Amino acid sequence: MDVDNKTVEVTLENVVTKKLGPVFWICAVWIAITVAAAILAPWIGLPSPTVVDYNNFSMNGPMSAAHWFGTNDGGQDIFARVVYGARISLEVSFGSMLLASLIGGTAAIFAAYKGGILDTISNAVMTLILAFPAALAVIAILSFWMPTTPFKLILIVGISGIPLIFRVVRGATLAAARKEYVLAAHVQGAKTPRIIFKEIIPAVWPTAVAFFILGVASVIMLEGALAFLGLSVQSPAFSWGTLLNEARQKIYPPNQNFNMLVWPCLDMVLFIVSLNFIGDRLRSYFDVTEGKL
Amino acid sequence: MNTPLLVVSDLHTTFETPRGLLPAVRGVSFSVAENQTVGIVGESGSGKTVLARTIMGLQPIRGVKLSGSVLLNGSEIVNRPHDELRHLWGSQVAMIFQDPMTSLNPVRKVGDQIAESLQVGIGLKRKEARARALELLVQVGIPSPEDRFHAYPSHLSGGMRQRVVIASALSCNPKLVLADEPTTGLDVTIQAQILDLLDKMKAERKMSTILVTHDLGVVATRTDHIYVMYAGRIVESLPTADLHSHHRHPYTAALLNSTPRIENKSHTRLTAIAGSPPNLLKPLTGCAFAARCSYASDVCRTQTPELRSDGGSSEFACFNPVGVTV
Repeated sequence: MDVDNKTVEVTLENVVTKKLGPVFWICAVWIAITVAAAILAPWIGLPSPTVVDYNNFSMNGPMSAAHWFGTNDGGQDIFARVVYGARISLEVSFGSMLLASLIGGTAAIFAAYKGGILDTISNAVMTLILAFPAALAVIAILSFWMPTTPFKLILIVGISGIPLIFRVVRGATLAAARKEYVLAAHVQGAKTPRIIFKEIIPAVWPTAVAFFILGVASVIMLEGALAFLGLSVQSPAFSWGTLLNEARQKIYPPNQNFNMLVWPCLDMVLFIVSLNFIGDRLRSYFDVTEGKL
Repeated sequence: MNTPLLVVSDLHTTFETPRGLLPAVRGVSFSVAENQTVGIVGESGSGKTVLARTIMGLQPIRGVKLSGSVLLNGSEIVNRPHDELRHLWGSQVAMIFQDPMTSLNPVRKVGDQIAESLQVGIGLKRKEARARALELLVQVGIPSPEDRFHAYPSHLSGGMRQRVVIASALSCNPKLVLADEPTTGLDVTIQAQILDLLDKMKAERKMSTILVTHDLGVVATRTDHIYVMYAGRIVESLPTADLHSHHRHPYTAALLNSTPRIENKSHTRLTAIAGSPPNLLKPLTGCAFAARCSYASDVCRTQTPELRSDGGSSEFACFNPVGVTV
């Protein structure tokens, strides 16, 4: 009767297992490829995204074996720029959501579990911040704090996301803390930290992860919108958003170049769609409270 | 008989609500001896759950006024902070909650939940705790316990979940178990199994049990002594053997009357108790049951009856007790 023996499996799970489905895996692979390519960009033999290839120079060149997505108006390789551009987009979106989740999520769990005046005050503060349009605040702060760097974006967007994640996690925590199993753990002698880590966080986790992933997707779009206003990272740095902003000026003749527009846009859209799909599937997959039978 | 395990004396639990003070428990005294099973019976709102939670020391500090005394094995429970009670919980007194659907964490494996109460309660190492948890699953009669150890609560039926809840509550060998309506959410056949299980565990472990229920059928066969609660007070206290033949309080009589009987013809209407329990936010004069009592006289509406002995081991609080037989 060795309990730790992992060969002992729940028979019910063997009979009926929740499937994530092929679309989930396509999305997951796409996200993995995009993220891996962005991280490993300098080491996977890409042409330089900034240095112009004078041996093979072509301005607004067509798609070719040397330049898969063609070249832009400065003769730079668009494929390399799309891959490199993901770096800042991903950095900013994951960074700001991590910041927001760490501060907002921790505060929410603590406030909602402890209750009382702490909860009332922090909830009031968050409601106050929510009452102010976050996008406007981000734009206003960025326009007075030039030049924009990824760090500033993470900081400002992250802070503006705190009240949202606070709200979501607080609601989930309140629902979990009221459950009888929390009281049951309490009367079996569990102290507050154990209750929070073993009872509350596992219950809040799926909601928080789903919100995190959807949040990453919306920050990528927010970065695109900021770039459209010229408020994202400044040249020579570039992100998906700034690539699109550059391309916007090239959709009319005489120097028309659709490659500059289509490829970054496609990559960004597919990435966001994949994130949203995965976020949704993971939420229902990890929701073991949903019966499997 | 040596000193009782639990002595409750003149216990009052009063909630401070926005609409005024609500005395949910109004001067309850009783005791539970070692190895004794006691039933607390009453309808919804009679204060029996509040009483059970007060005995556990679970009432919040704010918004609740407590007076009186609950002595568990010599330790006072009333008005002590949760930090000081923690060493009593689990090893001295444990609670089985009403709803097995909500008293298990849905996102954690049942074996881990039992093991955790062992780790927290008596400080076992993780591996020992898991082995003991598996033993407990065997003891509470869960089929193929090795498999169920890794199951989530949603994989189990209501009866199985309640067995897990019992295993978890009994894990640290408590001397006293408070079962708050342990079978309310279950089918009748499963109810009997769960109550049999509780009886068996009680016999094996020599523990005392307080069975809180609204179901006279549950207490009538499973307890040694019954306390009938009404509007926050004990109105009758009697040995279980005397329940049917020697009850004296009209409320007990009315409760018994409203229970279906096998000897009745089919389609016999059940005798319900007219009216509803009194609103405890308003001060009560006289007997709380007077408004619904068919034996009520003038004295019942002006004076509050105290518990008095019938000469034997029973006590009742009534000016116009019903006869020896119904």
